[in-house]
Amino acid sequence: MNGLTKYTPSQQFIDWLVCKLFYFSSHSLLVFPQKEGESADWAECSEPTCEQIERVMTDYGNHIIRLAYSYLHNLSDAEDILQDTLMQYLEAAPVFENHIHEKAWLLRVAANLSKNRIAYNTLRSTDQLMESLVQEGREDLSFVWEAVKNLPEKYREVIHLFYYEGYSTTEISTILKRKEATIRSHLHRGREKLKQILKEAYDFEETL
Amino acid sequence: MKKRYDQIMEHIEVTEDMRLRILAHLKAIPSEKRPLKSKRLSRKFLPFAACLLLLTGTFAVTCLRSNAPASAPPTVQGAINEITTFSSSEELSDCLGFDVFQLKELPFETKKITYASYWNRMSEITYHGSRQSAVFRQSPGSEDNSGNYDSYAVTKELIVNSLHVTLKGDSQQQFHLGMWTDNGFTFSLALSKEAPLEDWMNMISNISL
Repeated sequence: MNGLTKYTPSQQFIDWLVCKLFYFSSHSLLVFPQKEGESADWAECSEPTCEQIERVMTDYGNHIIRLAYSYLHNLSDAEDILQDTLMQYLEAAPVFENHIHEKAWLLRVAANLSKNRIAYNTLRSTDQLMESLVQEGREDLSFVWEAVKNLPEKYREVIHLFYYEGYSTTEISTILKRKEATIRSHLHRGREKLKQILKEAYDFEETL
Repeated sequence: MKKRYDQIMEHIEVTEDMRLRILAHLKAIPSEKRPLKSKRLSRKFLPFAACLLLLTGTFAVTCLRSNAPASAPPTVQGAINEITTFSSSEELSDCLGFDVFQLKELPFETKKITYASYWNRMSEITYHGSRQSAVFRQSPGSEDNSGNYDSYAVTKELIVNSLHVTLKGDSQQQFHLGMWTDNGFTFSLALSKEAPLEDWMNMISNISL
């Protein structure tokens, strides 16, 4: 590639240092302290970044938090995953062809973050969803939730994406980055396990 | 009767309190701690960084930057807190202070091109076709600037016009993402629709100002 200004090593180092220092100092209280009366209210930040995040939250927030809950079984943990997913969205500034691509990206990030949380962090034990279903006296729903919740994670995530989100196995393989044959196998085994647990109590097709 | 699993999931939703809490956290995070990539840097170094900036920034900017913009600021068509759009690559170059490279060959017909700078240090040129797009990014340094966290099955290293290029994709012959560094800058090219190796070599060989 020709035509670019030649940079000596010292110039490269200075440029790198200046870029880093400008970036850090813009967040340093010493150089740019928060002005008196300046509000930290989200509504005052510049658009369309605010609009974008609010739109993502409105359009996909429930989908993200429900997927996270299917992994973590705790509302606080699921909320953390939603926040972390939006943070990654801000940080990565990804480019999408359309809203379908956007939603798939968000769910993929949420799934990865949820699995990382399970692998590396202690999870909270309270399952607010189960408590809420029991409180409402919805034994039919709490029974089904218990059955889904106790599925191995690899079956549970495919069941959720297939039945609740309505994705095809091809789309699920793209989101979870696994072969489609593996997805079909996990879906089949998940369904078989659920049928076993639910037995005659509930019709499988009415359940999912 | 609505399916039971759907009824179960309806019990989980983003409440107004949760929404406000999350938005407040997202707003507060840049000033309190570094998210993700920059997490490593402790806040205690920021005052030191600010002082060092006073000593080195003036010297570096006035003495070493030979292509600082002399004319009036370019027309900014859409200004976001950290993302600025422009109408041409020349305006983008003027704002960023370095020559911005462009793709001259693409595996699809370009209908529209958009130019943007991120955080005043990274250029992004998006080439829009009727059914696909290509995003070309350039920034100082050597860190991956693609913003692409996907994991790909195949990674291929090759040399194109003396550039050491890394391609990533899901099959041996088709790739979504390419990255390389040159002369103190890092470049990334992301395609919405994967392309074969020959197209990648053609695209990278025909990058110019």
